[in-house]
Formats: sequence, C-alpha cells, structure tokens
Amino acid sequence: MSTSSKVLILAAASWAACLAQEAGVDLRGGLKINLPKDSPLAVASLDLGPSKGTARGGAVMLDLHASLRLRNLSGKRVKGVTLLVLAQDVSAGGKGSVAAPSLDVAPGDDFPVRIDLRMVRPMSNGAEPLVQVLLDGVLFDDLTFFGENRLNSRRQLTVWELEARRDRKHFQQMLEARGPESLQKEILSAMTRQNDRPRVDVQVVRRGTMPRGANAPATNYEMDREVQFSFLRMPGSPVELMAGAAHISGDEAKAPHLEIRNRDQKAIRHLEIGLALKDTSGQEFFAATVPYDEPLAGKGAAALRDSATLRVRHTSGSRLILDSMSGFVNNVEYADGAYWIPSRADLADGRLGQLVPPSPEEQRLVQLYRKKGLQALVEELRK
Amino acid sequence: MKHPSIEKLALYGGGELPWWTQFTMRRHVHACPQCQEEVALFRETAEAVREETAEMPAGVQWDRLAAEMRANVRVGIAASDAISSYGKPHDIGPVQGMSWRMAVLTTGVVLMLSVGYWLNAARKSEQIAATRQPDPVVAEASERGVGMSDGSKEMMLQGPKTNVRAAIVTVSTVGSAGARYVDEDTGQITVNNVYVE
Repeated sequence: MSTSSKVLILAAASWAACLAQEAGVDLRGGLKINLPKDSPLAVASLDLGPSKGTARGGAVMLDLHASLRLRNLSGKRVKGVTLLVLAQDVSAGGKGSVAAPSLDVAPGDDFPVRIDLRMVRPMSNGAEPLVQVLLDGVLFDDLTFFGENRLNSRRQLTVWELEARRDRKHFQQMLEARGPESLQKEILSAMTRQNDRPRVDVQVVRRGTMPRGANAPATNYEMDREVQFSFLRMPGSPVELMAGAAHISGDEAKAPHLEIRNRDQKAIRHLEIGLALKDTSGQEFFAATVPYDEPLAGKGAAALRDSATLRVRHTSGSRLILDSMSGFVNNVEYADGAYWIPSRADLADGRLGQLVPPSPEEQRLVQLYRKKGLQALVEELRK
Repeated sequence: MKHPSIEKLALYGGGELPWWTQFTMRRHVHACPQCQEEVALFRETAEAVREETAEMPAGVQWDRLAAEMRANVRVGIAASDAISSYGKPHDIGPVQGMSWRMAVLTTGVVLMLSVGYWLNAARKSEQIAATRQPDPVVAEASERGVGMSDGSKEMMLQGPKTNVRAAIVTVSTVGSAGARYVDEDTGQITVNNVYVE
C-alpha cells in the first residue's frame, strides 16, 4: 500500500471517530420514575423537552430537562415533596434530590416538579436506565409523612413547613394589626434582606484534602491557624453553643469542633448548627451547616467534631481570604418528635436576620409580591 | 622526508615538548640538517630575547608570562592538529579484548543487580499505589447549581430554565450541597441537593 493511501485511510478513520464521539444517545428509557404502589402521588405527565444525551468516547454526557407533573391522590393537602435522583456509576455512589417545599396542593390537584440534571458517566450497556427518580417523601398539612425517608426528608420538609407557618402567621398578623401598608413595608424589608445577601460558591470535602483550586496561589505559604468561633445567641434556643474552633487557611475552613449544651429538660435527637464566615474585607455570609446526629440527653453536654473541609469563593470566581467564623443554632429535633426553629423575635437581631437564610415561604411570598403586587399578596395571606 | 611543523621545532628548541615527543623529535633533528638549522635559529633568537629581558623594567612577572605564552602555543598546536585532521579517518588502535571469564563474570553481576533493582522497584511501586489516596469527591453549591465530581465523573443538578440563578446556596459538613431556586413566574421553590457518600 502506498504512503498516500495510508494517509487517506488514517484521515478517514479519524473523521469517523470524531463523528462517533459526537453521536447522540437515545434517551428513551434513560429516565425511569419509580413510585411505590401505595404512593399518595402519581405521575400525571412527563415531558423531556430539550433533553439530550451525547456519547463522548467511552462516556455519555446527559443533559436532562424533565418537566414532571405529579397528582395528589391522597385525601390531604400536600405541603412538600422530595424526589431522590439516582445516577448509577457517578461519583462514588453519589445521589441527588429535588425538593419542592412550601406547596399547598389540594387532593386531586396536580403540581409541577422540574428536574434539570447534567451528568457525565461511563457508557452503560443500555440495560439499566441512566437516571432513576424515586419518591423519598411527602409531607401533608397535618405534618404526617409518607416515604422511604432515605435522605431524612421528613425532618427537612417538616422544618420548612414550620418555618412557612411561622412566616405566614407573621405577615398575616402584620396585615390584620397594621393594614396593607405595614405589610408592604415588611415585605419590602424582606426583599431587601434577600437581595443584599452576599453571593458565594461553597465546596465541601467530607474527608481528605480539598483539591487545589484553579485560582489558588502559586505558593502555599498561607498559615493554617485555629480560629475560635463567636456565637450568635438566640434567646429562645434550647441549645447553647459553649465553645468551638476551626482551622482557617486562605479560603478554606477545616475540621470544625464545637461544644454544645442542651438547656432543655427534653432529650434531643438531632440539631443543626449554622456556620457563618467572614472574609478579610469584613463581608459575612452564611456558608454551611454542621449537623449533630447523636442523642443528647436533657441538660446534657456534648462535643461535636467534624473532619470536613470547606472552601468559599466569590460567585465571580475571585478568591477571598477567610478571617473569622460564627455559629448559631439553626433547628432542633427532640426525641419525642417535636421541633424547635428560631422565632421571628429571635431573628429580629439585625446580624442574625442577615445571616440566617429566609424560609422558602418568605421567598415565595416576596416573589408573589414582586410579580403580582400587594393585592395578590393580601389575597394569598387571607386564604 | 616529512618535517615537523615550525611550532614544534620552536618548542623542541626550548625543551618545551613532552618527553616522548621531545625524544622522537631529537631523532629527526639529528638526521635532518634543515631542521637542525631551524632549531639553531630559534635558540639564538631565544638567547637574544633573554639578553633583552635584562633591560626590561623590574616588577614584571616573567615566569608567569612565559607560562601563559607556552600554554598559548600548546593550544595553538592542538587546534592546528585538530583542524588538519578534520575529515580524515582516525587511526583506531588495537582493541584490548576482554577475557571470556571476565565477560561471564561481568554479565552475571550486571544481571544480578538488574533483577534485584527490578524486584525492589516493583515492590516500591506497589507500596506507593497502596498508600495513594483516591481523589476526594467534592460537593459544590454555586449559583449555577449543585454538583459533585471526583475528577473523572460528575453530576450536576441545575436550576429551572425560568431562573437558573440560585437564590441561596449552602453545604453541609456531612458532604452535601444545596441550592434553592425561585420560579419567577409561579414563585414555586425548588431545592436541589447532592449527597456524597
């Protein structure tokens, strides 16, 4: 075979390989929604819209945009739903979830849930679906729960619902006691707080060393120093943060440890501490939560140690240097199933009001006011 | 008859050549009247120079100067030889053969050292592979969505098309990352999370 013939064959093979690498993947059967037989929800419709899968060498890149409509088959109002999204062979058995809190779906009604997933995974043999969606839990208006609860959805949905009730009650009382103008003033204040929240990206590594960031300095001379926590105290909190520290190095905070004390007589099953970080420019932002999942007896004390590493950066990608840390109690679940969440009075403190994230319900009401105005908000609160 | 170069004759006249070259040159000069004449001329000139140096100013380091000049002359001779031999085939002397016993012994030693090194290197690479930690799985919450990646595989839950920018992002130290979105049309809240196991 002549040299020119060999070159032609090689060029044709390369072109064919390039075409094969960009080949589309058939998404039929790629997404499977598995609801239990006794599920209080049913799939009313599923639209995969502009979803696409692309084969790249031995991997498949999936860009899934699923618009799912679920129907409430139960006799109770649905207040929140969590769907478990499983993508096999991706990132050490990792999984995702899509939750819809602050719902109020009457029996027989439909509601939408969007799943927008992007994923790269090894090419499968086609026998198994690329993505499976399971029902992790449904919360009803009487705070009863249905579902496997593999993601502790019951606790999270319940906390969101209690926060929703607290905030609706707050705005309703404002409306009844002081009229629409005061409500408008209060909702504008909430809107300002939401808009003024510093925007940061956060990474976490459970164990091991955080991979070097793309914008990390060329040298690694940033000193690792232990920083003591300052605590933001809420008068009504049943848990007191006694002491705590973490190691700070550049844009990373590592291995937080805290000492906590139960001020209540009731035993605690779970509690969540919020971490706020401050950078050297003085900007403070809510970045992470530290859960404590051991039983804590009434009036008991405990130490909480964690091996995680956090990294924070501006949403623009620019690097920030951490300076100090603060902690506050975010929520508590008692052993008897009752919950504690901060009251509006606890959050009235300016700094706490800025740091503690708004409830999903407050976000929803603010968006309703922004989109449809004060009258729509008043009607919503008078339902 | 082939005569030595004029530089070599000058060095011979001053007794500056290596002893073997000096010996072979002496044999040639004794048999060659033309070269004897050249050498005699160099020696007369050298004597005249020595007489002149008596009138030179004091303080000059003549010994050092002379050594430098001799060295320069040697370098010149070496360069001249190199240039003249360029492109000509080199004379290859007889190769000293190695006895077969020495060859067998040397091969055995080299073989033993190679096997030992290979075994040790293989064990070390196994130890390094055993101690190397796998890439940690990073969970990230950003405005664009929540995702996790171990460097080769990745999964990302993005925001709805109606509002792709997350309003609130957070991570949990148990290894999860979350992003909360507000649908601009309906106000419905969507919270996406990824969990690293």
